[in-house]
Amino acid sequence: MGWRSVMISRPAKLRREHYSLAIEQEQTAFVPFEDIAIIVLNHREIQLTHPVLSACADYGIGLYATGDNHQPNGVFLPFLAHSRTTRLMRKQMEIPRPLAKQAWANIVRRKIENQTAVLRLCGKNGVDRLDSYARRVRSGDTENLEGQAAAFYFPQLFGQGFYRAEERWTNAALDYGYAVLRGAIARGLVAHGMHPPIGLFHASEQNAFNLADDLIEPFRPLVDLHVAKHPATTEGDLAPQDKAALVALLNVDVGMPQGKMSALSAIEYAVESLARLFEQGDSELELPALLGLQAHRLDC
Amino acid sequence: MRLIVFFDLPMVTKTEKRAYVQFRRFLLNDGYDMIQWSVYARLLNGNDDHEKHLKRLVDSLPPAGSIRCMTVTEKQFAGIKFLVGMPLFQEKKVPANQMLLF
Repeated sequence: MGWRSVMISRPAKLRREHYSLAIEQEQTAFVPFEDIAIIVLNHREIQLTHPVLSACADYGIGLYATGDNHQPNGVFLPFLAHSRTTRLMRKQMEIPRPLAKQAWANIVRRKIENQTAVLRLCGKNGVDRLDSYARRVRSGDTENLEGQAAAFYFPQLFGQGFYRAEERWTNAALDYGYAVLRGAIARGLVAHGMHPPIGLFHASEQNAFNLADDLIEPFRPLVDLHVAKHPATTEGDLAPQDKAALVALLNVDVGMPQGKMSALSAIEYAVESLARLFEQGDSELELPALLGLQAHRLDC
Repeated sequence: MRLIVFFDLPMVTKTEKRAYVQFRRFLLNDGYDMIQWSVYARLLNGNDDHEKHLKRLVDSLPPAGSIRCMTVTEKQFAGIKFLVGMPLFQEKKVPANQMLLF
């Protein structure tokens, strides 16, 4: 299981050498594929060879491409890497509705709790109101408290008159952070034999990542907290250091039932608990609790 | 933490040379960086990683020669003093950070 994120923001040639990724710039550096969890390609002049792509699939590395606006717009995932992928796909499609609804309620409740934690950590008002939203979540979130909470929470955090749809730095930063999380989750789902298009709650025909969009919810406030604590340094577009900081959020510690761990490891555990949901009907998902923005200390 | 491997291997006969080449290739393939001639080091993330790579190392040893290994914490490794010479490009570009920027 990899633990490193590699972000490439200058012209480079990537190739495979032995079992390492060789990054050719003025000089060449090597990173063992085994250690890598994520590679972000964030420059127009990056060239890479087929063996690099194939190694990414072999080692289950999430490889992100970014679009003209420098937002991650694609992720390269291994093709049916897991041995029980067809079995899990069937289980995913046949999940009993009450079970899916309970799991969705768990996800929404933890998301709102984490949003509450963001407001508290930023010293904003409205903590009590969000708390009561979290308490009122019932199976399937039929009252759509998720939406109500979000409509209340974003203006509290970023000021009245804030709209998610508006084109501005804050929204670009949020979108970037969410896209990175979503790719990391999609990678975890595929690695554990699940199909990202078949969701618990999200069911859009046009979305290839419905399940990732379910599981991402409790992780989103991590990005919100970072963006709220580190407002724009430049007008308009994200600067390269802004993007690097957003990718580095994968290394921030969150609370899990097993203890404190990096968001990247937490995704792994959350995905495993999701697999148990489908396989054994265990509705207790393991979801992250927001602690702050402390980066995970390597055990070394 | 870092696993550091030091070796002296006999290089007289063809078989001995072959054993050396195979061992060195193993080190490079397993993600070790050459920090000096015959001194290789690998970055490890935690005890599980340490066990895994140490086992692989033990399984790939050549039959003869002298090979030692030592595990040091990242702080101790970073405390290495350069009396003559400079850190390599690879050492500067690929430190213990979880996030690598290129």
